[in-house]
Amino acid sequence: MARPLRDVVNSVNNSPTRPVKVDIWSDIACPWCFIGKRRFERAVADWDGAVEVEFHSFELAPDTPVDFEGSEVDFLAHHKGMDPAQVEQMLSQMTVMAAEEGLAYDFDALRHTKTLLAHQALHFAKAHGLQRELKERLLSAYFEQGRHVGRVDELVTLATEVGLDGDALRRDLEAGTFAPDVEADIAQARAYGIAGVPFFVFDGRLGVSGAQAPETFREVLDRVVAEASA
Amino acid sequence: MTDPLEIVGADEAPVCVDGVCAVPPTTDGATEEQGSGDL
Repeated sequence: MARPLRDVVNSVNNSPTRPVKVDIWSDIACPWCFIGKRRFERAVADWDGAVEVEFHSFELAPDTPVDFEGSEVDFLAHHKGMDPAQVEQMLSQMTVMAAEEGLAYDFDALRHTKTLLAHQALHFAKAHGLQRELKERLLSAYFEQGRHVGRVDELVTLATEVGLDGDALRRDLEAGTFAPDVEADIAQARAYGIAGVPFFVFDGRLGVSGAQAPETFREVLDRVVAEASA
Repeated sequence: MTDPLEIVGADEAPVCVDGVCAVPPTTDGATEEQGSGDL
Protein backbone atom coordinates (compact mmCIF):
# COMPACT_ATOMS: atom_id res chain seq x y z
CA MET A 1 0.00 0.00 0.00
CA ALA A 2 1.40 3.35 -1.04
CA ARG A 3 2.32 5.74 1.69
CA PRO A 4 0.45 9.07 1.81
CA LEU A 5 2.49 11.79 0.14
CA ARG A 6 2.41 14.03 3.16
CA ASP A 7 3.98 11.27 5.27
CA VAL A 8 6.78 10.06 3.10
CA VAL A 9 9.12 13.00 3.40
CA ASN A 10 9.59 12.45 7.04
CA SER A 11 12.43 13.10 9.40
CA VAL A 12 13.21 9.40 9.22
CA ASN A 13 10.88 6.75 7.87
CA ASN A 14 10.64 3.19 9.09
CA SER A 15 13.14 1.49 6.80
CA PRO A 16 15.79 -0.50 8.67
CA THR A 17 18.56 0.79 6.41
CA ARG A 18 20.44 4.01 7.04
CA PRO A 19 18.34 6.85 5.66
CA VAL A 20 19.57 8.89 2.74
CA LYS A 21 20.01 12.44 3.93
CA VAL A 22 18.56 15.04 1.59
CA ASP A 23 19.18 18.69 2.35
CA ILE A 24 16.86 21.02 0.46
CA TRP A 25 17.56 24.71 -0.04
CA SER A 26 14.44 26.60 -0.96
CA ASP A 27 12.44 29.76 -0.38
CA ILE A 28 8.78 30.23 0.47
CA ALA A 29 8.29 32.78 -2.30
CA CYS A 30 9.44 30.31 -4.93
CA PRO A 31 6.87 28.61 -7.15
CA TRP A 32 9.31 25.99 -8.37
CA CYS A 33 10.20 25.11 -4.78
CA PHE A 34 6.63 24.04 -3.98
CA ILE A 35 6.31 22.17 -7.26
CA GLY A 36 9.75 20.60 -6.75
CA LYS A 37 8.76 19.58 -3.25
CA ARG A 38 5.73 17.73 -4.63
CA ARG A 39 7.81 16.01 -7.31
CA PHE A 40 10.39 14.98 -4.71
CA GLU A 41 7.62 13.66 -2.46
CA ARG A 42 6.26 11.59 -5.33
CA ALA A 43 9.73 10.18 -5.91
CA VAL A 44 10.12 9.17 -2.29
CA ALA A 45 6.62 7.70 -2.18
CA ASP A 46 7.55 5.30 -4.97
CA TRP A 47 11.03 4.56 -3.65
CA ASP A 48 11.81 1.68 -1.35
CA GLY A 49 14.14 3.16 1.20
CA ALA A 50 14.57 5.56 4.05
CA VAL A 51 14.92 9.29 3.48
CA GLU A 52 15.73 12.02 5.96
CA VAL A 53 14.90 15.53 4.82
CA GLU A 54 16.09 18.85 6.17
CA PHE A 55 15.02 22.17 4.70
CA HIS A 56 17.44 25.08 4.53
CA SER A 57 16.92 28.78 4.05
CA PHE A 58 17.44 30.64 0.81
CA GLU A 59 16.21 34.17 0.16
CA LEU A 60 15.55 34.57 -3.53
CA ALA A 61 14.94 38.30 -3.33
CA PRO A 62 16.30 39.82 -0.11
CA ASP A 63 15.29 43.31 -1.22
CA THR A 64 11.59 42.43 -1.29
CA PRO A 65 9.59 44.71 1.03
CA VAL A 66 7.60 43.16 3.85
CA ASP A 67 4.50 44.91 2.57
CA PHE A 68 3.60 45.58 -1.03
CA GLU A 69 0.26 47.07 -1.89
CA GLY A 70 -0.56 45.82 -5.34
CA SER A 71 -1.14 42.78 -7.44
CA GLU A 72 1.37 40.17 -8.44
CA VAL A 73 1.47 41.66 -11.91
CA ASP A 74 2.08 45.13 -10.45
CA PHE A 75 4.99 43.84 -8.41
CA LEU A 76 6.71 42.03 -11.24
CA ALA A 77 6.20 44.90 -13.63
CA HIS A 78 7.54 47.50 -11.22
CA HIS A 79 10.37 45.56 -9.60
CA LYS A 80 11.57 43.53 -12.56
CA GLY A 81 10.53 45.79 -15.37
CA MET A 82 8.58 43.01 -17.00
CA ASP A 83 5.83 43.51 -19.52
CA PRO A 84 2.51 43.07 -17.67
CA ALA A 85 1.04 41.00 -20.49
CA GLN A 86 4.02 38.69 -20.37
CA VAL A 87 3.64 38.38 -16.61
CA GLU A 88 -0.03 37.49 -16.97
CA GLN A 89 0.83 34.75 -19.44
CA MET A 90 3.63 33.43 -17.28
CA LEU A 91 1.47 33.27 -14.18
CA SER A 92 -1.18 31.42 -16.12
CA GLN A 93 1.37 28.85 -17.28
CA MET A 94 2.79 28.46 -13.78
CA THR A 95 -0.70 27.94 -12.38
CA VAL A 96 -1.36 25.14 -14.86
CA MET A 97 1.93 23.42 -14.02
CA ALA A 98 1.22 23.69 -10.31
CA ALA A 99 -2.22 22.18 -10.84
CA GLU A 100 -0.56 19.19 -12.49
CA GLU A 101 1.10 18.58 -9.11
CA GLY A 102 -2.17 19.01 -7.24
CA LEU A 103 -1.42 22.57 -6.15
CA ALA A 104 -3.97 25.39 -6.43
CA TYR A 105 -1.81 28.46 -7.00
CA ASP A 106 -3.77 31.70 -6.66
CA PHE A 107 -1.62 34.54 -7.92
CA ASP A 108 -4.52 37.00 -7.69
CA ALA A 109 -4.58 36.51 -3.93
CA LEU A 110 -0.81 36.18 -3.40
CA ARG A 111 0.71 38.65 -0.93
CA HIS A 112 4.27 39.58 -1.76
CA THR A 113 6.56 39.81 1.21
CA LYS A 114 10.05 39.37 2.53
CA THR A 115 10.58 35.79 3.68
CA LEU A 116 13.35 36.28 6.22
CA LEU A 117 11.08 35.88 9.25
CA ALA A 118 9.42 32.85 7.69
CA HIS A 119 12.84 31.22 7.43
CA GLN A 120 13.49 31.98 11.08
CA ALA A 121 10.16 30.36 11.90
CA LEU A 122 11.19 27.28 9.95
CA HIS A 123 14.34 26.99 12.05
CA PHE A 124 12.22 27.36 15.16
CA ALA A 125 10.04 24.55 13.84
CA LYS A 126 13.07 22.39 13.13
CA ALA A 127 14.22 22.85 16.71
CA HIS A 128 10.82 21.55 17.80
CA GLY A 129 10.56 18.67 15.35
CA LEU A 130 7.91 20.24 13.10
CA GLN A 131 9.88 21.77 10.26
CA ARG A 132 8.28 19.60 7.57
CA GLU A 133 4.81 20.53 8.77
CA LEU A 134 5.49 24.26 8.88
CA LYS A 135 7.25 24.24 5.53
CA GLU A 136 4.17 22.75 3.91
CA ARG A 137 1.89 25.12 5.78
CA LEU A 138 3.82 28.23 4.75
CA LEU A 139 4.06 27.25 1.09
CA SER A 140 0.36 26.54 0.92
CA ALA A 141 -0.48 29.71 2.81
CA TYR A 142 1.58 31.79 0.39
CA PHE A 143 0.66 30.25 -2.94
CA GLU A 144 -2.79 28.84 -2.38
CA GLN A 145 -4.41 30.96 0.30
CA GLY A 146 -3.12 34.50 -0.11
CA ARG A 147 -1.78 34.64 3.41
CA HIS A 148 0.86 37.19 4.45
CA VAL A 149 3.85 35.15 5.62
CA GLY A 150 6.10 38.12 6.33
CA ARG A 151 4.55 39.31 9.57
CA VAL A 152 5.06 37.92 13.04
CA ASP A 153 1.35 37.70 13.83
CA GLU A 154 0.54 35.67 10.73
CA LEU A 155 3.54 33.38 11.20
CA VAL A 156 2.50 32.73 14.78
CA THR A 157 -1.02 31.85 13.62
CA LEU A 158 0.23 29.47 10.94
CA ALA A 159 2.78 27.88 13.27
CA THR A 160 0.12 27.29 15.88
CA GLU A 161 -1.96 25.49 13.28
CA VAL A 162 0.77 22.85 12.92
CA GLY A 163 1.17 22.42 16.65
CA LEU A 164 3.97 24.83 17.52
CA ASP A 165 3.99 27.07 20.57
CA GLY A 166 2.94 30.44 19.19
CA ASP A 167 4.08 32.46 22.18
CA ALA A 168 7.52 30.90 22.10
CA LEU A 169 7.78 31.51 18.35
CA ARG A 170 6.76 35.14 18.80
CA ARG A 171 9.48 35.64 21.40
CA ASP A 172 12.11 34.03 19.20
CA LEU A 173 11.07 35.98 16.10
CA GLU A 174 11.14 39.28 17.97
CA ALA A 175 14.51 38.41 19.50
CA GLY A 176 15.97 37.13 16.23
CA THR A 177 16.98 33.92 17.95
CA PHE A 178 17.22 31.94 14.74
CA ALA A 179 18.61 34.67 12.51
CA PRO A 180 22.14 33.18 12.74
CA ASP A 181 20.77 29.82 11.57
CA VAL A 182 19.23 31.44 8.51
CA GLU A 183 22.50 33.21 7.80
CA ALA A 184 24.40 29.94 8.19
CA ASP A 185 22.12 28.23 5.67
CA ILE A 186 22.62 31.03 3.18
CA ALA A 187 26.37 30.91 3.73
CA GLN A 188 26.38 27.15 3.17
CA ALA A 189 24.43 27.62 -0.04
CA ARG A 190 27.02 30.13 -1.15
CA ALA A 191 29.82 27.69 -0.27
CA TYR A 192 28.16 25.01 -2.37
CA GLY A 193 27.78 27.47 -5.23
CA ILE A 194 23.99 27.32 -5.14
CA ALA A 195 22.62 30.17 -7.26
CA GLY A 196 18.99 29.18 -7.46
CA VAL A 197 16.34 27.09 -5.81
CA PRO A 198 15.04 24.54 -5.21
CA PHE A 199 18.36 22.79 -4.77
CA PHE A 200 18.70 19.29 -3.36
CA VAL A 201 21.89 17.85 -1.83
CA PHE A 202 21.89 14.07 -1.48
CA ASP A 203 24.22 12.47 1.03
CA GLY A 204 26.18 15.70 1.29
CA ARG A 205 27.83 15.16 -2.07
CA LEU A 206 25.35 14.99 -4.97
CA GLY A 207 23.67 18.22 -6.00
CA VAL A 208 20.38 18.33 -7.93
CA SER A 209 19.17 21.69 -9.17
CA GLY A 210 15.56 22.56 -9.84
CA ALA A 211 12.14 20.97 -9.83
CA GLN A 212 13.29 17.75 -11.45
CA ALA A 213 11.05 14.91 -12.51
CA PRO A 214 10.36 12.30 -9.82
CA GLU A 215 12.30 9.65 -11.72
CA THR A 216 15.40 11.81 -11.57
CA PHE A 217 15.15 12.04 -7.80
CA ARG A 218 14.65 8.28 -7.59
CA GLU A 219 17.71 7.65 -9.73
CA VAL A 220 19.82 9.75 -7.41
CA LEU A 221 18.45 7.96 -4.35
CA ASP A 222 19.26 4.61 -6.00
CA ARG A 223 22.76 5.78 -6.75
CA VAL A 224 23.40 6.89 -3.18
CA VAL A 225 22.29 3.52 -1.84
CA ALA A 226 24.23 1.58 -4.45
CA GLU A 227 27.42 3.47 -3.74
CA ALA A 228 26.96 3.12 0.00
CA SER A 229 26.72 -0.66 -0.31
CA ALA A 230 29.51 -1.05 -2.88
CA MET B 1 35.77 23.64 4.19
CA THR B 2 32.87 22.51 2.05
CA ASP B 3 33.55 19.68 -0.36
CA PRO B 4 32.35 20.45 -3.87
CA LEU B 5 29.14 18.83 -5.01
CA GLU B 6 28.82 16.58 -7.99
CA ILE B 7 25.92 18.01 -9.93
CA VAL B 8 23.54 15.40 -11.31
CA GLY B 9 20.09 15.38 -12.90
CA ALA B 10 18.65 17.17 -15.90
CA ASP B 11 20.15 20.54 -16.76
CA GLU B 12 16.86 22.08 -17.85
CA ALA B 13 14.87 21.54 -14.66
CA PRO B 14 13.02 24.72 -13.70
CA VAL B 15 14.60 26.85 -11.02
CA CYS B 16 14.30 30.32 -9.54
CA VAL B 17 17.45 32.45 -9.69
CA ASP B 18 17.83 35.93 -8.27
CA GLY B 19 14.11 36.36 -7.97
CA VAL B 20 13.46 35.24 -11.52
CA CYS B 21 11.60 31.98 -12.08
CA ALA B 22 11.89 30.77 -15.62
CA VAL B 23 9.02 28.90 -17.20
CA PRO B 24 10.32 26.10 -19.39
CA PRO B 25 9.36 25.84 -23.05
CA THR B 26 5.86 24.54 -23.60
CA THR B 27 5.34 21.05 -24.95
CA ASP B 28 3.49 22.24 -28.05
CA GLY B 29 6.69 23.38 -29.62
CA ALA B 30 6.81 26.94 -28.40
CA THR B 31 10.28 27.88 -27.27
CA GLU B 32 9.86 31.10 -25.41
CA GLU B 33 11.44 31.26 -21.99
CA GLN B 34 9.78 33.72 -19.73
CA GLY B 35 10.83 35.14 -16.47
CA SER B 36 8.86 35.79 -13.37
CA GLY B 37 10.21 37.73 -10.49
CA ASP B 38 9.98 37.08 -6.80
CA LEU B 39 7.09 34.74 -6.85
